[in-house]
Amino acid sequence: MIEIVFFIVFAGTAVGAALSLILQKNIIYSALSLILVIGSMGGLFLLLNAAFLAILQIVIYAGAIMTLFLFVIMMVDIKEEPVSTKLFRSRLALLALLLIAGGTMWGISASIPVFDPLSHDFSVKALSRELYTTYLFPFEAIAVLIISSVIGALYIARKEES
Amino acid sequence: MIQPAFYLILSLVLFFIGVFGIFIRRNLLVLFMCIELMLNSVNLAFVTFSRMVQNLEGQIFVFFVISVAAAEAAVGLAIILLVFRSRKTAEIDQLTSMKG
Repeated sequence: MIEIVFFIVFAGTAVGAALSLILQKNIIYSALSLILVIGSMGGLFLLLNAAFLAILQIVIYAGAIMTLFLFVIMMVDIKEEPVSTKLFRSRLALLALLLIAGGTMWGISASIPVFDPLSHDFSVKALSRELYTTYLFPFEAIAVLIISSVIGALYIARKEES
Repeated sequence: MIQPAFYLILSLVLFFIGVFGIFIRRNLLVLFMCIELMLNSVNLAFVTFSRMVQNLEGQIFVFFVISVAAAEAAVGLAIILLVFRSRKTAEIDQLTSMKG
């Protein structure tokens, strides 16, 4: 029962903050809304027995990526940008798309079973064992990817000396 | 008991809010944030399915998605910074030198 309360709180926060993300005029407020979305998503991960991912979500997304975003927003000149209205011409098409997707999801959801009680080991220990045995090579490849992307970002964003 | 469908519908709603944001906003940084929002909603679907079929591999995929998103954010923000430095604007309506 308490699970449903938490789900409603986190889901409501996520949807509300996501709407505020796209409707806010000030970019800083948009970024703060995204942090709120990410935080509530972490809560939902906890409800789904994914404790490690909840921590990662907070540490990597809210901690590292959003800090980067906020730094760039501070460097880029913030103008109060009006939410564009002339692009609303496609609103009907988008609404139709949304309705179709929602209807499809509703149809599918009838055939989706309820969660069974947890019978497998979903602990962080089991996850890391899987990560360091079966998925060892992709894990190392990710390390190379991140190192190269950091070096690439530093190279791209360096001051031009002409 | 919460059904998996609730999580999937929430993930769908968040994804479409991100798509809608890309349609109505004109600022590069906000567009980038909408992409992050969509990545997050897909992660939620992954974790839901992982819990549903009681298989940890879905969570491992989310781990990889999060790490690739971090790398992507670093490079993408550097590119946005470069665009802003050379064009003095981050509005995509004014970045039309490639006739896009």
